[in-house]
Parts: sequence; structure tokens; C-alpha cells
Amino acid sequence: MFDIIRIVVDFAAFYAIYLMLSVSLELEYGETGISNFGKAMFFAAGAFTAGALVIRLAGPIAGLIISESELKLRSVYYSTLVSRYFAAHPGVALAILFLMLILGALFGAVLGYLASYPAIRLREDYLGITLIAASELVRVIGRNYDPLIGGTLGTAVPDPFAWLMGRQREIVVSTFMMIIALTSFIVTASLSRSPFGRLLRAVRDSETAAEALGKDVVKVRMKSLMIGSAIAGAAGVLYAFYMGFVHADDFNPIKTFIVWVMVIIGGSGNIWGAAIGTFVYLLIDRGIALVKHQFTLPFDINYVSYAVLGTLLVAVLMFRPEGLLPEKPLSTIPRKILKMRVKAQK
Amino acid sequence: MPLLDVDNLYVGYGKLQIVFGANLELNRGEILVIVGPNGSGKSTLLKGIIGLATVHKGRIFFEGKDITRKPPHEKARMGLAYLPQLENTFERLTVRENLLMAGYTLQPSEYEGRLEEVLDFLPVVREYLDRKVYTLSGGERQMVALAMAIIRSPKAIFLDEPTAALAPKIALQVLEKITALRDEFDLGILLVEQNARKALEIGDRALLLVAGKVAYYGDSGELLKHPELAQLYLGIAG
Amino acid sequence: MLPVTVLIDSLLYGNLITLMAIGLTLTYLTLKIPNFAHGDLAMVGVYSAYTVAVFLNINPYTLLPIAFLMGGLSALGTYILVYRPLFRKGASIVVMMVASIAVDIVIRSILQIYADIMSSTFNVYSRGFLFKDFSLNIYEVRLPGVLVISSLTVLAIIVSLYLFLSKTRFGIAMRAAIENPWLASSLGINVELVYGISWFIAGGITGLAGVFLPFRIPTNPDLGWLMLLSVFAASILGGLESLFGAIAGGYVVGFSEILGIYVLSSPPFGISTAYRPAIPFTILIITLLLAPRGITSVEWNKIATRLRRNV
Repeated sequence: MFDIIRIVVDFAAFYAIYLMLSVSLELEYGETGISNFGKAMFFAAGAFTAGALVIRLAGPIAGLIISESELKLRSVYYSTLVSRYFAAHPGVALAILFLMLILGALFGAVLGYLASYPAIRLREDYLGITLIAASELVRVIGRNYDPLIGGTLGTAVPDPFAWLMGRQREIVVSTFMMIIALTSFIVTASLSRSPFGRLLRAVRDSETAAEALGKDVVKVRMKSLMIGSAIAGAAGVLYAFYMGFVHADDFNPIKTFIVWVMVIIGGSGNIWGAAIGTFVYLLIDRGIALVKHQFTLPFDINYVSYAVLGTLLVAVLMFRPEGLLPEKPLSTIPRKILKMRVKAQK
Repeated sequence: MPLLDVDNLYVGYGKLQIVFGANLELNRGEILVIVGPNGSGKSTLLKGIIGLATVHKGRIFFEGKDITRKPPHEKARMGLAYLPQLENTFERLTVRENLLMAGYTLQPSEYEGRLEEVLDFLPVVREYLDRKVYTLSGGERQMVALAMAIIRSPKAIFLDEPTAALAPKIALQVLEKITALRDEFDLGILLVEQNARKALEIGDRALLLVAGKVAYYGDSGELLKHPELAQLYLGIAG
Repeated sequence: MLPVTVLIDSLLYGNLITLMAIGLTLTYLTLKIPNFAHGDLAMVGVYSAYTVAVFLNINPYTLLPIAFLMGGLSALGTYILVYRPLFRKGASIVVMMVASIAVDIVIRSILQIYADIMSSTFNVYSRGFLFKDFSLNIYEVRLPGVLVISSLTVLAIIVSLYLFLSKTRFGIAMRAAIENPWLASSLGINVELVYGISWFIAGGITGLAGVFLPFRIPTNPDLGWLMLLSVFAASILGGLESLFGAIAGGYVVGFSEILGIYVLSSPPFGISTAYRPAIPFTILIITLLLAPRGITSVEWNKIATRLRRNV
């Protein structure tokens, strides 16, 4: 039978990762109007950071001699040894974990800064093409440049929670991931409600109007893309640690597409939409993953779930383009209070 | 029975209302000039009749038939031609191809005959028949647009500022052709014009729109001589 | 000295990219959306041809019409089922792009399932297959059949497109509806029908291109997606709105990819050929940042005068 707790804990972990991704896209597209079709690339930035650095950094601390020439073939072996060291030194493990989160977010932000160059200048369709192509290029580099994450073999990532065992470890890992995800959610939500958020939407709805008000549109878009990409980078770090493995091909455009599905199903322009959309998507996806072992079909059932997903998205775009939770009109000051104030002034 | 009968027409875009209760009649062989200050709703009235703006109230009859709710392409088939002010030609097509498109609904044999008639009426167009429209001057383009509007032998033709942005001399030539259209083809012409004096001179009757309401409807020469209206709204010194 | 095979490969790849870029440009012209599902149409073409070729044991070249038909019908189907309804509802470019990614994923998944069934149920080798080719010997050079046939196909497509678009009423109506759909419909042209036919032709041409792939490249359902970057680079280099630009772009991209990676992978560079996608990407970025409306928009005369003045 199904192990319910395991399913819930696993769901929470994936929810945390995808929540961060969908929240970041919500910030970029829903609030700022930047069509980021390269989400997988920023996600990869974080995962590649963890994949490339954890063994190299923690290995020497653990007293291992890491041979660069053997790293590609022996990453699983090194990773096991580092995990064993982590099991005995939770402090070091957590320090590395946090360092990676910071670095992953940083590399994400740097990539976001680079991407903002075309994002500011290009029309939506050109930008979409450029980012999707850039994302594929990053994947190709990850796949072929062995020193980064072991090329076609991928690389193992040590377990920073190796000092916990069994069920307890699973729960702590998922809780930790949920805390990070909720933090990014809260940060983004408060950004959205702040004057900065209003500025973002002003830029989205009319660049000219925002410019006429003396707002630096270029900087606003750049900031939004950098914050979004930093969150995506941190999500990538969490993903690498959770899977215990990083492979470039995991960061294909389908990942980007999934995040778009989440934001659109949930309702772009509303950060709660991202949270709901992520939940609905994962429910379908994990559901299919759970039942698919029950069948033997003459084809891989994963493709069915992709096809269903694609069709579902087209249906949502056609029949409920505003998503499950549509964007709410701006109301920082409740209307009643506003009316009272106007009356008082008279 | 007039060719076109517009009865108490209210026109706008979506919920926005621009023209309030316009009445007019157009007969074959006459030019009805619609004048008025900027933003008074002249073009909107035209678009309302042709079906490109929202009609809120009122009826439109063409040869006695109610055409109020008919879509533009059906009105076109019934013999109404509309010449928009902007983008009235395909820039990247040659003049010949533009004319072919204007006569798209005609039978090929019928089209050949009509093309010759139109080119005889507007001989200048023959000179640049195989040039792409974007290489033409504004006046040349307007002649092409005029040719396109009449190729399907319409009974009435609506012209939205056909002389806008043209040099005065060219504008005069265009207006001359419009008069000729009335006289030679017996067309009913609705002419919206900025250049009020010239238009009223060639027009038979006139309609003055002010803020979406009809302020004058009658003989066009009278309006030209009207002491207040002409001066107030058309900038024509009495 | 460049080996002749490199030149042959460049021309062949240029032919394929050109065919696909013509198709992509034709669809872009109608609704002004970049269709991310475009590469998959080539795969629909190749898998339908391959299926018939395997089961009836026929030469794949004779199946070009079937590839054209299937590619065309798929494109028309996506236009009618997805893009036209969205366009009617006034969906934004971004929404249309997301929809086209969804279409890409659906078509690719269906092809994958199809390939799975082919191999599991019918024991047909359905991924990484190649077609057998003939070859022509002209003087000392051995020309692969696919080069000859694909070049002839490109030539035939260009000539018939030119004749269609400039000499037939319907072709001219297509150009008219593309330039100004409002004016066209007010003249009695059925714009949606015209666009539908454009999508059919575009899909057909792309489906044709697909048949040539397995003569050189081991083919699987993802191949169309992987080639899409090169196709986009070609179309954008050509200005995205010009069919002749797409042809020029197709050959520039085709040659720079094959020649470029040949040079870069041999000494002294010795770079892995796996980085080949970097070449079309670079072309794409440079075009977008320097001449976003493509090579056809660059005012070469002005540049030439400026250069002359500076010299």
C-alpha cells in the first residue's frame, strides 16, 4: 500500500521547490510583464552551483583529497563520503547548505542581471525566443562541460541532513524546504503590496505612462528579474540537495513550461494564484506518478501526463484565461475609508 | 425614395457615445458634405453607417431596405463602398494587385471590364499600375484608393477625409475627381472633410456636426454663406 | 582546405533549415506569434513517411507528398483548434506563445507514444533510425541523393511559392490579408480561410523538410524541437516577416553551423561538437541586438557610404 506520510512529505518538498519557481515567475510575468521563457536556466543556475561546489568545498573539510580528473566518474563515491562526514558534523553541513543557498541565489541574480539586457530591449516574442534558446544553451553547456556537473553523467550531491535518520530526516528536510519557500512567498507578497509592487504593475500595464511619471522602467524590470531569478536559483539549490543528484537534462524547457502552467492555471497577477496553481499541478502530476506503476502499457505513461497537461493548459487559456484566482484590482486603501477621507476633505 | 436614409442614429465605440441622433438622406448623383470641428464625430458617423462603429439607436435604410445590423462586407456587396482615411491601400502590393483585391468578389471577366472603365476614369493610375504602393506619393495613393472604392460599381461611396495630408494642388485634383464621380457615374457620395470651404463648394448639401449633434442640415452653399455657423465652426470668414 | 563533405553537409543542412524557416515565417506572418511547436511539424512529416515506408517497404522519397499532407494537416489543426480561437478572443502574444509551447509538448508526447507503440507492439525500430540513400557520382565528387533531392525540393518550393504569391488571385489575397486583415475583409476576402491555408502550406513545407532528416541525422521525436533554435535564428536573421529573408537566413545559419563547428572542433580549437547550438544562438542574439528587423532591414547602402567615407 501507499505510505501516506511519505507521500505527504515528498509532496511538501516538491511543493516547496515549485512554489518558489512559480512565485518567481509570478513576480516577473504576473507583476512586471516580463515573459520569462527561460525559467529552467535560472533554476539550473542554483542546482549547478550545488552540484559543482558542495563536494569540492566540503571534501577538503572532511579530509578528502578530491581528484579533479576522477570527480566525474566518482562523484557518487565522494558524495557518500562527504555525507558521512556531514552525519557527524551537522554544523558544517548546515553552514554548507546555507552557503549554497546564498550562492545559488547570487548566481541566479547574476544570470537575471544578464538576462535583463535583452529583457529591457526586446519585444515579448523576441524575448521569449531568446530566453528559451539561452536556457537550452545553458543545458547544453552543463551536459558537455564535464568539470561543471559531470557532463552526461551528472553529479551526486551530498546530503546536508545526513545527521538525521529515517522518517525524522524526511520530515525535517521537507519542513526546512517549506520554510524557505514560505519565506520567498512572503517576501514576494509584501513586495507586491509595497510601492515597488505598484510600480511593477504600472510598468507592466503601460511602460510609457510609468516612464512619464519619471520612473526608471529599465531599473524596475532589471530588479524584478534579478529578484525572481535569485528565488529560482535558491529553488535550484534545494532541488539539487533533495534529489541528491544533478543532471543537466533535468533542466529542459519542460521545466519552464510546468512553471508557466502553474502560474496560468492559478491566475497570473495574483500571488495566491501561483500558490494554488502549484498545488493543483502537483496534485495532478504526483497523482499520475503514484498510479502509473499500477499499469502496464505499451508506452511510457509520462508522455500521457505531458499531453494531458498541455491540453489542460490550452483549455484554461481558452475558457478561463484569468486562472483560478484572477488578479484583484489594486486596493491598498479600502474604498470605504477612501470615500470617508474624500468627504472629510470636503 | 432616397438611396440612403439615416434615421435618428446614435453611434459610438462600445459604451462610449459620440454621435447623438443624426438624420440624413443621400440621393444618387449628389454629394453630401459632412463638416464640423475636430472630434465632433464626423468619421464616427460614417463608420456607424458602414458598420465599423457601434450603433446604439436608430435605423439605416439603403434603397428602402433596413441595413442597420448588416456586417460591413454584406453592405459592401449591396453597393456601399467605404474609403477609410488611413491604411486604405495595401502598401506592399502593386497598384494592379490592389485593384484586383478591391474587385475580389467580382467574376474575372466582369473585373477586366470594370478595371478598364475605372482606368479610363482615373487615367493617371494607369501610369503607376505596376508600382508597389509604398513607392507612391500621398496623392497617387489617394487616387489608387479612389479607384479601389469604385471598382465594384458601388451605388454610394463614403469618403473619410480623402484630401487629408495632401498638398493643396493635389487635394484639388482629388476633389475634382469626386465631383466627376457624381456626374459621370451618378453616385451618391458622403464626403467627410476637414477642408470645409473647398468641400462645401463642390457639395450639393451639407451637414454640420457639432459635439455629436447635427447643427445644420441643408444646402451646402447656404452653410458657406451662413454668417455665424461658417465662422464659428468652420473657420470660414464671412 | 575544407573537405568536400563539409560543404555538402552545409548545403544539405542549409536546405533543411531553409525549408523549415520558410514555414515558420509563413505562420509568423499571419498571427504574428512565434510558433514553438513548429519543429514538431517536421517530425509529424518524418514519422508519417517512415511508417508508410516501413510497412509498405517503399522508398521514402516517394512519400514526400504524404509528409507534406500530414505536416500541413497538423499545422492547420493547431491553427483551427488553438491559435484561431485564442486570436479571436484577443489573447496577448505571451499567451499565444505559452499555448504554442503547450502544443509543442502535446505533439511531441503523442509522437513519443507513437514511437513507443511502434517499437513495443510492431517491433519497428522507432528511435534513432536512418534512411538508406543512393548517391550520384559527378566527376570525382560523390553527391548523396538527399542533397540532390532536397536542393531540388527547395528550388521547387521557392519557385512555386513565388508564382503562387505573385501570380494567383488567392496568393495575392494572402499577401493582402497578411498586410492589412481589416482592409482585406472589408473588400470581401475571407481572412481566416486565407490564414488557414497559409498554416497548411507552412506545415506542409516543414513536413517535407522532416523526410530529409533521417538520411543524415538519427531521428527521434525530439529532433524537431532541437532544430527549432536554428530555424528561429534563420527566420529572425531574415527579419521574421520576409520569405526571401528566411531563405537567406536558412543558408547563412546552415553554413555557419556546419562550417563553424568543423573549424572550431579541429585544431587548434578542439572544441566539442556538442556546443554546436551555441552558433545559431550567437547569430540570434547578434541579430536581435544589432538589427532586430533582420538582414533585409539593414540599410547596406548607408553602411557602405559610411564605410567609404571613413576610409
